[in-house]
Formats: sequence, C-alpha cells, structure tokens
Amino acid sequence: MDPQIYQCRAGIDCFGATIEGIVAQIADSGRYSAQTSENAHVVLAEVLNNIFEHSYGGETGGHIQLSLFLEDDGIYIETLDFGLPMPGLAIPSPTLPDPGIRTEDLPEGGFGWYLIHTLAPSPQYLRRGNTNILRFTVK
Amino acid sequence: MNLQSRTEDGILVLTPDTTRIDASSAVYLKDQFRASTEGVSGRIVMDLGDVNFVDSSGLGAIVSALKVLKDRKLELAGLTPVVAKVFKLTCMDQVFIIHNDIDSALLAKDADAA
Repeated sequence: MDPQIYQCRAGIDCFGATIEGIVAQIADSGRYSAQTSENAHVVLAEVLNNIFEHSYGGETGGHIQLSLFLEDDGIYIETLDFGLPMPGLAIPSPTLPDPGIRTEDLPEGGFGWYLIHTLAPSPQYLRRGNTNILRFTVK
Repeated sequence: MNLQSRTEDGILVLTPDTTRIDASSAVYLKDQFRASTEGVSGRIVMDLGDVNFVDSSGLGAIVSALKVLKDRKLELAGLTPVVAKVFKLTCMDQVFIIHNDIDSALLAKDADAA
C-alpha cells in the first residue's frame, strides 16, 4: 500500500493537530485495534518531540517528512529530518528509575525513548548525508 | 493551557483546561501548579478527566508538580486510556494516588483511601 506522506514544520505548537489528524486517519481506516492506535499516538508524539528538541535544538525547528504505511501486520512510520545527527549515531535506550526511589529524586524526563522502545520495539536509525532517517513499527 | 482551581469540601481540585498535556503546555502546568498550591495544606487532586493525551513532557510536568509538594501526596483523577497507559508503562502510576474519577476522589475520606 502506498504511504501517506505528511510534511510538517517542527514546532511544539503545531504537533498536536498534526498528530491528532494522523491518529484519526488510523482509527478511520478501521484496520487496527484501539490499543494499536493508542500506541501509534504515543510513538508519533514522542518521535516528533525528539526531532524538534534534539535534532533541531528546540528553537525555531525545521522540516520533518513523515511517511505512514498502514500495513496488514502493523503501522510503519518513517521520519526524515535535516537536523543534527543522533549522539554516537545511535538511538538512546534509557531505563526506568528504581520504583523505590525518593520523590525528590524522581526523573522529570527521559520517558520519551523508554515509551518508544516499549511500544515500537527495535526502532531503526540511519544517517545519510545531512539527513536523519528513523523507522518505527507499531503493532 | 490554564490550570483551573476550585476547592470542594476542603480539597483543592486542579483541572487543566486542555485535552492534551504535551511539550507546548507542560511548562505552564508546572508554573501554575506551583502558584495554585502555595500555602495549601489540605489534599490536592488533579482532575485529568478531560485530558485524552499526555506525552513524556506532560508526564514530566506532572512529576515535577509532585516534587513541588515535597513529602506530600498528589492525587490524580479520571485518567483516560492513553494517559493511563503512559503512567503505567513508565511505572509513574505507582508514585501518585490515582482515583477512577473526580467524584470518587472527593468521596475518599483521605488520600490513602484510594
């Protein structure tokens, strides 16, 4: 099946509408469980945030091309952006804090990649020229 | 995003007037939580019944709200399915007192009756 391709300008104020539009399209296709749609929602939000905050440095942002492949065995997501490469050319894989941790030591960040790894196992990253390519599969 | 504030039966109820708590609203939540809870000594419940999505930034802001209270508890009410999933996957459901909805939160005799 041909992918749906979305072009967006990275910016935290516009992601909500873009993501809700994509999630509505996934739901309208009638091909996926509520759980799969929810997982795709979380993954899309975290992926776009990461590109905005890290690849584009969280300021003016830049261009993101997002391709969505609605396949029988899952939802395939590919993003292209033209910002900074991932540190070490690798996807971060943070772990959760010890649940017995004191309140004052609780982390306020680092949840994003944890959620992505959990909901879209084995994300892929490629750097080609000045382009970051990320691929995720949500089942 | 605004954090609406009201008091019911001596309980401070805070309600974000947004359906999404994400990177664009997280910073407002943190600041307004601090302002709304200053000097408040009773129970504090955040009503998330209208919030259908929380991302990692929003989750971080709610964790930072808990930290503002230091040794006191923050109660959350009305987690919708995606919000509940994000809390559960990150184990943050274990650091808050969570009520099914705002009515059951208000009926609970104290924070530990959840």
